[in-house]
Amino acid sequence: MTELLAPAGDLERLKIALLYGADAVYIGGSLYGLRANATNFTIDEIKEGVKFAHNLNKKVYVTVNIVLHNKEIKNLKDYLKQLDNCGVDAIIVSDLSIIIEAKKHTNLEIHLSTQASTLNIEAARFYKKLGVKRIVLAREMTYEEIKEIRKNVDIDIECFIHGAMCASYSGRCVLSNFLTNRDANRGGCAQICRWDFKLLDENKNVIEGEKDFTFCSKDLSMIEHIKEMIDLGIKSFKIEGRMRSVYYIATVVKCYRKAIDNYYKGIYDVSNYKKILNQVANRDSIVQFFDGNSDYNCNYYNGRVEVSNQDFLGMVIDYKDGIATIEQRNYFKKGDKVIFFGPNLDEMEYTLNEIYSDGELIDIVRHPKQVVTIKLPFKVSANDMMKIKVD
Amino acid sequence: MSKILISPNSTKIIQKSLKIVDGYVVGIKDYSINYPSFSLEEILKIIEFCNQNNKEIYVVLNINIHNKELENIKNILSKLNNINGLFYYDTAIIGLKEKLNLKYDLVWDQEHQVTNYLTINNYYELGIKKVHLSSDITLKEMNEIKENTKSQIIVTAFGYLPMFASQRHLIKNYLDKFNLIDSSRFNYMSKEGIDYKIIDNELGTQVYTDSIFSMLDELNNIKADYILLNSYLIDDFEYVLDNLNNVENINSKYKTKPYFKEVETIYKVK
Repeated sequence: MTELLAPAGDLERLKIALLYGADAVYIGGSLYGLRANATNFTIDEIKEGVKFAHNLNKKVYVTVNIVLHNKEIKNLKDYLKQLDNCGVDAIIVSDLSIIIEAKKHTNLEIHLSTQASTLNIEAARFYKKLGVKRIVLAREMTYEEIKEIRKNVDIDIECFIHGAMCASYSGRCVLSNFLTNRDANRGGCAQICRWDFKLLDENKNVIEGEKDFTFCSKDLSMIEHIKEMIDLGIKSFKIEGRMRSVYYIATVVKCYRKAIDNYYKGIYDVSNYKKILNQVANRDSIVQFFDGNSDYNCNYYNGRVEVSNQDFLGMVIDYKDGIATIEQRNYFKKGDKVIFFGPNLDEMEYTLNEIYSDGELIDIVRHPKQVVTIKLPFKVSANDMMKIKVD
Repeated sequence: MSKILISPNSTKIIQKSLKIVDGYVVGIKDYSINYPSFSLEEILKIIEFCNQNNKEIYVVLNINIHNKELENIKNILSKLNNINGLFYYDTAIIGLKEKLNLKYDLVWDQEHQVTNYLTINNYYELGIKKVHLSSDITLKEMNEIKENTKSQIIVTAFGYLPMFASQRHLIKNYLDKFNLIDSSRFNYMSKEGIDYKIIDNELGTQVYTDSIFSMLDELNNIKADYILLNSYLIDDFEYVLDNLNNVENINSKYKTKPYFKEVETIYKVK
């Protein structure tokens, strides 16, 4: 059965991802990960996350995927041993040294990061020989190319299926280093690929398009190709986004969970999930390289107008005797048409009527994390979510 | 004292520099980026010439390799005899060296990833005993690497530095999207008055620094086995060769920058 692998920037997102249907999560520790400015996990949090996951028979992978500089060598062995002691199920690496040190000093399973940009059979064979158990393929792979690797190399394959895309070959972009001094290969990427530039000809005259020049890529979405990807024998489907919100993760995981489960029931229609995924996106998405296409339809020229999604209104923290206790995540009010959804709850619509705060009837819930109660005519559970109904 | 290698952009430069350099680094057309490139036929002649003149010769094959390119690459690798090394990027090359029983050395040239002595030493144990250091690390880090490894170290001391490589055709996509026409050999992308050279060719898109990088004033302080001067995108490289004994002239003419020579990158901003 195909593994659904979700990102988790912190413990809350780890739990939500697993509860909403992910089979495994990948997280960053406080060291050696490519999202140095994400919340990341302390060792104690990793232990707690692993315990939570293992209780559900699910897995946790930790990214150790930076390119090392000399000063990062000193603590590497100890850090890997700590991860081993935490019981993590695998580490995701790109630097050869981390593979070798992990093999020498720990029992950690090794997954090769997309950062290593594995695009061909020979490279896959090289890493298999080193003891890598799974390869996260480069994002530039077409369907045919993935098929060839599956056919010729006996190694588990993981592919990205949803989320942001790099503009470059992974590992070959240091625009961030040069333009902001933030090291892209050690977790400091400032996403220069999303900046606007003026494009000049060789005589330095401006080439004026309707919009400024940018490298910005649309996001990836493979929801319409789940059947083909499962048929290819890809072991794990990876959702991008350790810095994404809990609402985004819950929504995307649930959609892909349903799509995968339906495949095994012989149901292949994904039109409903496509609609839901579009609602949580902050950029257009497209299949990208899988179908052999990388023309201008893969680029995003709308400038940095990506607006934070305000659809997520609240998290259910308890339900008893018909009353849901909800923690606010965005402003909502009496009369709003909302939808509740959760790991075991398909979408239920409702118009908010009586909202209570500390026993008093209120009209507006405006304070971050304000806790209110709402009487509901249907059952909800802790960790279900409430979102605005979008027509 | 380090040996001097240059990456020449013409056979004329090779002829002109014969007495002052120890060797050459040449890219294979359609299979290399960031270095001046030559057809395989031209490279075979250059190899012969270097062998006759006791000069070292290195060939660059540093593209990200797709399956459909493997057969051609095997043919090319098999034809490259009597070279001192192959600069490679894709780890497929390591397996191919063994498969084809190639006699020449491999030079680990993964641009921004050749940054620490532990990994260099691990590659050494795999038989890769020459490396081309990243230019994204400081001179201090480079020297620390040399002090902690048995590998032979190559350091770029002059040239435009690569910042980005993509399979995408980003300029073509932009022109197509907005129905624009431009037949430039190369372009610039400009931000806040700084212009970066950008090239969109058969191999995708590459972007380079706004200025030429130079560590020529540190040649006595660089603990490397080889210093590389790369002429890629520099039309008047002869000036560099004529002024190697007066690096101030070179740095002044090209308004070179030291980039990360003394400035370390950061990655945590909070």
